[in-house]
Amino acid sequence: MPRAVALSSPRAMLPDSPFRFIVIDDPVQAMDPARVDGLARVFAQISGTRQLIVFTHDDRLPAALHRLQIPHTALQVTRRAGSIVEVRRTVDPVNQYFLDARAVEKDDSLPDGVAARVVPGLCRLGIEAACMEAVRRRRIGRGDAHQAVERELAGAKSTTTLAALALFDDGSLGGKVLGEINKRWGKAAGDAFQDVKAGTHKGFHGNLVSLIDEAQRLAAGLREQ
Amino acid sequence: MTTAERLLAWARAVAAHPELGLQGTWPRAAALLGRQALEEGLDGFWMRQLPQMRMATRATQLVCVERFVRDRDLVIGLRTAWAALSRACHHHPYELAPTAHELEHWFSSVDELLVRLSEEV
Repeated sequence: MPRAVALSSPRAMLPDSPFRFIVIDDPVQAMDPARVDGLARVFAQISGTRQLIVFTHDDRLPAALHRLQIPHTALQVTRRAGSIVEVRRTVDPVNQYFLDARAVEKDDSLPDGVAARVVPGLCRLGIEAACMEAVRRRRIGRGDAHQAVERELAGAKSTTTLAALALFDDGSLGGKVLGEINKRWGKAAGDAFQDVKAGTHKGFHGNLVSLIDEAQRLAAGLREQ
Repeated sequence: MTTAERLLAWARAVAAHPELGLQGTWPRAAALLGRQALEEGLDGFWMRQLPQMRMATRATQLVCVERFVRDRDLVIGLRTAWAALSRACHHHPYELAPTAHELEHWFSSVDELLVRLSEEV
């Protein structure tokens, strides 16, 4: 059990403790990746009898909670200039990017043209998050060291390399990614993959709703690899 | 207003104006728009200098650009701003989206770089 939790939770967990809640600040920071799933399980156990509030800047904890299907409420806090703080409910990282893309596409208050410039990049982020999740689940599942997996993911500098890792378990096979996507999920998915990559730089001037739909379908497929 | 200037103005607007919506999404949206502004500026530069360079990857362009500009600070500024914005445009599980402060720092830099790029003939 991680040290910070080992120290704090037993006292707060005593049956006669007046505190029915626990607040933990950034428990994942500097933690060995292998321990994050264990931490998520400890939190699941604690949350049976206590309200547990955890602050973190690290995606691994929400990802672990999602992967282990541990019920929780995730809130994202962002701070604008002038300390204007915004809080919103979020879902897992992959689907959040697509929810964001849909929200931007629908937002009438934005200047004309902004959505066409921003939506493809958000879709690409969703596809990248899906690939990372697939690679992590597969490699950790077969016993690879967490640190080696994270190093490989950090070294994957392009969306295509990440997709090659997700599809073939080999980042050097980027040249085969588009063909494989076309084969497995159809040409519409392959086109969406190309369009979100190019559109991240140049914008996309076709139908944004179809682009989001196809990219999200592709991300769901990649995530299950 | 050039396309690059308009993109940079949008990037600043979505970061600074909550009334535009984009709750929680604005840091990524602003980074995407800011990088596009810089890339548009680079495209314009290559159009004037050596149009076929636009077919090269951005990484290659940023290596080669030092052969085409006299101003060493401009080269370093371009590489730094592009790398920072690019990082914010990819998913990194252990990192937050950029802060308002970081974004404005990069945008000021892009603003200046666009002017200096347009002055390189």
